[in-house]
Amino acid sequence: MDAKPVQRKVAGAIFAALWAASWAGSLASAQQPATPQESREPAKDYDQRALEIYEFKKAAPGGPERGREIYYYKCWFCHNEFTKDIPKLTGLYQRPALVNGQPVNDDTVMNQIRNGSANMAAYKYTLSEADLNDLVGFIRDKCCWDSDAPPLNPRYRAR
Amino acid sequence: MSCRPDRNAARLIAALTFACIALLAALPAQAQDERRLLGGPRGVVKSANGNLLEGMMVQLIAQKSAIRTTVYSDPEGRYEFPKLEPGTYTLRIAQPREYRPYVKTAVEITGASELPDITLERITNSEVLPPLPEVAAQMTGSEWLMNLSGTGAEKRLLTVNCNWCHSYQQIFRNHYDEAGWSKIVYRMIHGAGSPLINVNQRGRFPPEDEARLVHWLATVRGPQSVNPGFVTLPRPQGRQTRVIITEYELPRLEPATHDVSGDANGHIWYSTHRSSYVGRLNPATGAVTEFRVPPVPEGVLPGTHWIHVDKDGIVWGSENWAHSIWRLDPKTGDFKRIPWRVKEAPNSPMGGNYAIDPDGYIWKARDKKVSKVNALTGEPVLGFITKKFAGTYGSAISHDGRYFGGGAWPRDGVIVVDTKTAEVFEPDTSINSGPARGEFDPQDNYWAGGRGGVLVKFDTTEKRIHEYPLPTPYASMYTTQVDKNGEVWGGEMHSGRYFRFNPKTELWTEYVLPEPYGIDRESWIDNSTDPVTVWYVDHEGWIVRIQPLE
Repeated sequence: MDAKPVQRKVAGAIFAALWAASWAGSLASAQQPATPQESREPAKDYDQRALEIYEFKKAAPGGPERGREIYYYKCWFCHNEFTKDIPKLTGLYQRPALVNGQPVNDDTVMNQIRNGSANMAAYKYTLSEADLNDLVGFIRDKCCWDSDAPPLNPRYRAR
Repeated sequence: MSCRPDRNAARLIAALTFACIALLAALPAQAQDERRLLGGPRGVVKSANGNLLEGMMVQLIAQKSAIRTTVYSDPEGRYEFPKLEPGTYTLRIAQPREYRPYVKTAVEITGASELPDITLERITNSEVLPPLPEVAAQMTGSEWLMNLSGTGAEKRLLTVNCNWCHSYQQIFRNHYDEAGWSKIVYRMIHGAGSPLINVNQRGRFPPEDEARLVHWLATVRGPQSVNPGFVTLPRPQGRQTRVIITEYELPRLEPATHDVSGDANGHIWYSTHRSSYVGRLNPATGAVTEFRVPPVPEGVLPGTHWIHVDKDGIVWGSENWAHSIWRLDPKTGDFKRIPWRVKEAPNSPMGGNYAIDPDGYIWKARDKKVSKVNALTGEPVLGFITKKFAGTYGSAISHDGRYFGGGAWPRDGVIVVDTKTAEVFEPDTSINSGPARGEFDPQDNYWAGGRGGVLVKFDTTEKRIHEYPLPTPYASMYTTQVDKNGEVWGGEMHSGRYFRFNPKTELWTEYVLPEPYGIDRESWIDNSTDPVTVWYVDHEGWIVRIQPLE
């Protein structure tokens, strides 16, 4: 009789038992209400504003509001309301085509940002896929920046 | 023969001696205790192996107001907060750096309670910190430059030309190929002011330097570059730890906050130089009242650069892109605009930093003339011709109104005018010292912060320049203020520190800030407190109060 299948079954049973125990343990700890003074250490402390700034997360952890922040730092200084010789991006998705002739959709806009152009830097080395998704979400749904009404600071409480 | 009297005398002398020794021994301890008796929550910071940690920034964030109060642990690891409003707080260590983040939410503060020991675990046993994003985010611009490869000349090219508009972190978190860096650097070097809307053919420095900067950035921050391991600046020690830092949130993000100025009610006004709003902070509650500056002409970026509260409580501001001065009566909320005749195109800087003298006139130095201007009409009423420098970046007036001073722009030097004798002084300062904005001390000497990291003094008695380089490498300055005692204060841009310089002793004290920036464009000193209280608004968007304990 070959011993290997038995060993595999035993190893599998042990693994399953350990996994179940760890799952049950994590469930139990998740159900246990956290008491004050016992908060878990976060992997990252976003109360350090510098980390929020570094990761473009002052306005939101993700989504178009985060995209607005990325837009301000990566796009606004050329694609703003005042510069005359650079395409404005307001209403971009209502236009028939990008300046390179491509149709306007998330893929082509994302590719334009990734690869740049003769006048625009390629952002593929500096913006992650998550960054690009948030940025394109903003350009599509909420564009663009309004210098008359900068976004509200979610940390400000004394409203 | 009795020897009792001698014995009594000896006992008395011994008792008095003991009492004197005890008193002398107790005096410094009492002084130290008084200094530390702040009356708020307190505790100890230590490492996981039991070492007491000095210079750790212990911070409480009020849930109700979001006000952040930071104190520093002493050599015994002990820290103590000032009295805080009872309530719920987040307790954390700001910039833990070599330690794992420490955050405890929902901490109830009711008075001078002893908080549980804060025990910190190292993230590495090495002195060199790992290049994780959460570590990189805590590094100051100085530390980035300490750890990136490159020659001194390459780094100096960056620190004297790219130091005013943004943090170095904003540069070094990016990766581009050389063509990408070339396009970005071109926009930065040829764009006017910080908005970069108008692009000039001529850059801020020669094309060969521009190419060298691009090549270096593409080398250290190219597509394949990895973050370096980080060797860090030392933590604060001794006098640096005897300070309380309070930070206040502002209602909006990305306002490009610029100046602060205090009013007679203890409220702090701030300007935002790329948005329509200015604001007034009530430090007691953290509440901000926003004032919307009336719309600027179509096609022009709104924004207020200089802000100043005069002796009558009237607030003045300069619109650097729209080219006007405004006057706000806070009681009525009414703005009045004063046209400011300048040659620059809209959206290019008009040199937006001014001074108001005791009689209410505005002073500026432009077009080879130092001018005294009627603040309500914008009309010049007096002028002093300059021979060497065309103008200044900043403008200051001595307390008695006798002297005008400003850092020459764009060259290295200062302009100082003695309005009593009509003498105009235009001394050079060292290469790339870049004195900009500043203030007069009580003896009428002019002090200016220099972008090259040099504090510049023009001694009005000796009629000569003195220069004092900042102790921390790669740090820059933009402005400086002088308090009632003659001590000089200012933000160290890119070192995450705020300096205090005593001209009598030539001793620097660098207070380490809870966030790694220190981008101060104009501070305001409250001389009514003792020690003085210093305010600045970080360009990243929060107001900072610095309360030294000595």
